[in-house]
Amino acid sequence: MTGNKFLLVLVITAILLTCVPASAASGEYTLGIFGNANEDDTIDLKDVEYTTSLVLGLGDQTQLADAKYDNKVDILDVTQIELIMLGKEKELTLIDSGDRTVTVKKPIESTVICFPHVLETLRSLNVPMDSITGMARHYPEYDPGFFPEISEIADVGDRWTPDVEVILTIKPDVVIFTALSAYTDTTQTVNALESAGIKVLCFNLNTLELYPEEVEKLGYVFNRQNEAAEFLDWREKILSSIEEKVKNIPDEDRPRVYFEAASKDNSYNIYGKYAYIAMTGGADIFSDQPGQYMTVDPEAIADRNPEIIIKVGGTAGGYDLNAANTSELENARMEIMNRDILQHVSAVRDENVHVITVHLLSFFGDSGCRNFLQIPYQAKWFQPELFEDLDPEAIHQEYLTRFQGLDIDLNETGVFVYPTM
Amino acid sequence: MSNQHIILKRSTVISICFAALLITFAAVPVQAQQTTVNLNAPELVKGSTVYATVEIINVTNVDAGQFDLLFNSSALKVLNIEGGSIEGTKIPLQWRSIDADTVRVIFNLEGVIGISGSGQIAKIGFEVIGDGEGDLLISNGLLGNTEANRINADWGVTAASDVQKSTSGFGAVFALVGLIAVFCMVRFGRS
Repeated sequence: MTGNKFLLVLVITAILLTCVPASAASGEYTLGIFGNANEDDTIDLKDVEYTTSLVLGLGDQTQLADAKYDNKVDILDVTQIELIMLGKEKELTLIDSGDRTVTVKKPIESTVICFPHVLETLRSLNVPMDSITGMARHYPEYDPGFFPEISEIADVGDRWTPDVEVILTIKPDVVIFTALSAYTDTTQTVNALESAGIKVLCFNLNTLELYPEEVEKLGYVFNRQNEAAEFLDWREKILSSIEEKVKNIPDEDRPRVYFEAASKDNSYNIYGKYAYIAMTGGADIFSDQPGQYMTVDPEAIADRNPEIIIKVGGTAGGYDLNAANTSELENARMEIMNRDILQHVSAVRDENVHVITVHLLSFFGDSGCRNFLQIPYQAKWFQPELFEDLDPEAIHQEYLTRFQGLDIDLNETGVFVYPTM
Repeated sequence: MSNQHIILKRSTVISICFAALLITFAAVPVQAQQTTVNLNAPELVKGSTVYATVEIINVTNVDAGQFDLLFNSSALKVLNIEGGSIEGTKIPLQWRSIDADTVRVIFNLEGVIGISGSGQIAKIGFEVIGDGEGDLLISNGLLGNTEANRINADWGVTAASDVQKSTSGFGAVFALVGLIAVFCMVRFGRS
């Protein structure tokens, strides 16, 4: 190929790569791994081509093209990207959910985790459980039947403030900690670990939208890209099949929904951003609120006259109950049905009150990564005709059996919604 | 002391000397493993087409590389750059003019398997268009191995006369000759 012809091909390639916005790829995020040169949602041959173009002086420099994370883009970055694609890189640099740039040595053979949803996510990726060498605790522990391996893992203290000294004795390759710092200041723990030479990755793993990117990153960290892709594809198909149908529902066909996240005495709380009402075919009666966990005026609930009420049943339910043992969720529903101020709202009058356990929601402290299971249940409640064929329990069962490797039969074990479907 | 003993003792001393020589030469290949990249520039004759080559010697696990080729554009015009081969493996090469006097050349072997040995990275065809000096020079040279790490290499040699020959083969031959000599002397001393 002559220089001119080659240049022409490169220019065309560069133009094409530049013209394809990152959001037009299969995902809607930029995968924050150094090596994702074209800043789409994956690392593939396009990144090799993109970086090659950059080395030749074509295209726009991107932060993530510096796969070696050495402040320059050269041919070594191209090889590093190829190694990442093969899972053979000796180091990997990524931006975690705490917006921290961390370089981890690979392969990862020893991991300390601080939250059960990390364990659950790593199970979905088929990461060997014997590589989990330490885990923080929190009491009471829910769903021991869901996490049978926890008792075998060394205790490293409280999940929000793990015992740094104990972790140092384990000498893990990486500690996976939380990116949430609203509950408590986590920087002291992170700094103490990192100053001792321990790599720390901070992930949320309880945000519906952020979860795919976090899982994909963990797939690269643990050399489980294929497993991550398989799980995320399955999950994405469920969510997108619902999204596709819901997006065409006109406002007038969306039922007014009140999602009660918690209540105590006469204080009622909503948590709009984790209610996912719009994406499941409803209209949030408190959509004018900021979405944070907050108290609402009881009269405002009645005034806005919801057609459907979703009540979060607290920590009731879960995987440790017999499937027929729905009494706690029944009681939660009865409390709504009998609440004086709600006697004239449509939802109560039409008995359109549903209870869902926190075990399937984002703000379940033990494992908020099951929130994608909340979506099918709600879609079925909000749009029963549209989702007549949707079977939330079958999806839930497939998750347990296929991705979690658990011998749990939902027909016999586990209580999650009431009335049952 | 019998003559046989004297002969045996002498042969032992000679054997020790050869062993010392062997050890000395065994160390030579270590120095010779330095990776070297040479630019072999031809004699320039105005109006002719000439070819420069970029040779590589003693490289281990090379996977990719890049360099800038600087030249006097008043005297030379780049016609084409072709990939060479290292130990029989073709070098897939790409290049682009960075400015009038510079082309950037990169290569990246398919997969991340790496090759070791010596060979030719590139062959550059020039048309000699002027009377001035060619000023051919390699700069910003970089070789990477299969772990995406830089390979230390000597990029400083730019003239054909400066090409350094590999000594690792010489060391091996010399060691073999030494061994045969020691073997013969011991045999001779015993007979």
